[in-house]
Amino acid sequence: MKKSKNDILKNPPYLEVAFDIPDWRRVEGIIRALPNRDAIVIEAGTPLIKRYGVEVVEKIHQMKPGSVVLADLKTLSSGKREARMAGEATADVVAFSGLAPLKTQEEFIEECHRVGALALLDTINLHDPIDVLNQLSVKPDIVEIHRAIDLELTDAEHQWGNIAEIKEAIGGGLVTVAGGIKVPRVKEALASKADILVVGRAITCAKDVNGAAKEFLHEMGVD
Amino acid sequence: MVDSDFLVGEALVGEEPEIAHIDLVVGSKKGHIGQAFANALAQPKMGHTPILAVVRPNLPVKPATLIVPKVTIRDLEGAELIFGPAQSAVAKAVSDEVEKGTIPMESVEDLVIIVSVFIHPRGKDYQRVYRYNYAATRLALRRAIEGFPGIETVLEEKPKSAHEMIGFRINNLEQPPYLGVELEFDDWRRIEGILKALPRKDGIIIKAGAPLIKRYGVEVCQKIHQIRPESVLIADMKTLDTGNLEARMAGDATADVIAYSGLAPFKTQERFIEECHKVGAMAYMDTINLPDPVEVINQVSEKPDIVELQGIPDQELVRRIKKACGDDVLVAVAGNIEVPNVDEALASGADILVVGRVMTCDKDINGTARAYLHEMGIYEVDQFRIMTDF
Repeated sequence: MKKSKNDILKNPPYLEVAFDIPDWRRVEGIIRALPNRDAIVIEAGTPLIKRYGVEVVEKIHQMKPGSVVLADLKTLSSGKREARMAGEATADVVAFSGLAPLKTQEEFIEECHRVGALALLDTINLHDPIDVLNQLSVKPDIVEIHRAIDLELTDAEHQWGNIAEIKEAIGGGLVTVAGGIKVPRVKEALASKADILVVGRAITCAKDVNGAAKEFLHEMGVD
Repeated sequence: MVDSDFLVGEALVGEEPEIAHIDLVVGSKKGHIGQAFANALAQPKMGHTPILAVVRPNLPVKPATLIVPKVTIRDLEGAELIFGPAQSAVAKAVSDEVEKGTIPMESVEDLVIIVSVFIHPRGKDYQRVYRYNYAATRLALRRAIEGFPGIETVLEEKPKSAHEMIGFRINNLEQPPYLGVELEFDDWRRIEGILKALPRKDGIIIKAGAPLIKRYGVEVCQKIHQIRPESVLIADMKTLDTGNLEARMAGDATADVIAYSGLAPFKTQERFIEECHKVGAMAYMDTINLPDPVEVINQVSEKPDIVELQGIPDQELVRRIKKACGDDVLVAVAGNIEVPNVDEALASGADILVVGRVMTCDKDINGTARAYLHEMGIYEVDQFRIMTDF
């Protein structure tokens, strides 16, 4: 049974497992290996969606009916249509880019709420997220502080800065932090008031996927 | 006569299945070709036994000419075609060209020729085999001596040629303007209808919109190419992250042009463009919500092949973009420009007009497309040219 929007992500912290591997057979194996915990959110990454179409969200739900699944569409235009598409494919949370025109973002958020999903603003390459959040007439439910994977290669600095300020700007939503978080940094991330930790390859490319996920959950105190 | 070590000629003459395809090399006995000639004769391969061309039995032609069958000879019938009509046709052709002066009489003892002969296993008619191979050998020999084709001809013909078996040509958008049709819908059945309604014209390129790709996955590119194999296809990935991964995915799905967002981190853009070039695709920069595209282009080390602007731009902006890309870029103008404004759009320096709903939502898609093509002055490549061989 699909949860209503009000029931989604009520008990942070959450561990979001991100799949940026555009290979469904591998993804399938990894999802099966994940522990069955309410604290796990599954993210269908942009490359995965672009490769197979947003229907992959439904395929993930078929394997893990109870899980919250996030569709990372990184929408830049056609806000309404893309949000609707993801909602129809059973996404619980749908992500758009904070770089999109404001109108696109607002239409996206409204459409998410119509289809009963949460809207997530992705701050990738956005220099002043607070400024964008203040300008939006409707606020996203979640903001993701994110570093582009390509940037991880050169830019080692974590940008976890102003989480409290962001929460205030969206009237008390959730903040997600992404970008190469490993187990030793979990406590630091949670201390910075993050609600959701995005972990990708540290779990999905681990030999022992289940063990790696449990290690994170344990460190987060939600095991 | 021969400046370089050897000369190369090629010719295709006739109709299937007896069609003659000749590749030949001509060169000095003292050089590489002389060596190859002796090696080929001394080391025959099964089914590809080389034989000397003879005007009639016991009378080999000069310059000495070695015939190498391209297709493996499996039975006596195949052998008879090569040892009969082809062998004598090649000899007759070489001797006729000597008589005509293409090969100077005094050099016939210094030169050798190796002729690679194609005979289709289903070829039956000796008349045709003989005449076609005679004509093709003469033509190939003349072409070798004349150095045909000159590189100017190759460059001139390259964007026009379509291989007959593939039925379409790789189009690198070398002859703008082009009309881009943007498929903004995320409903495949509707897309299919639009694709079939559009006229089949070289000037039309197709853009698979981001919602379409996100809905069905990038494989939709291949489905579009199945309906319109000859069309250049832009996959609008609107990439913001994982540049190389997304470019590779789209390239593997047969996209000819792949679009990213100019809002992406520079590193992502650079990796995206590099990857596009690795998979033989063009990189297309989308400038939605980007205040100054020129500044971004100046800051990335790899430049896009196409830059898309929204609405009719002023000439100055187009000029600056082209300059920033080393004048090796096409500018596309999107935003549903209507037919009466086509001239104005082209006057801004735009190379591609990208139209969406104004065409795809029209009841008469075919007619609207033709109206655009007409207004843009786009005609078919080689439509009015009578061609025989190239």
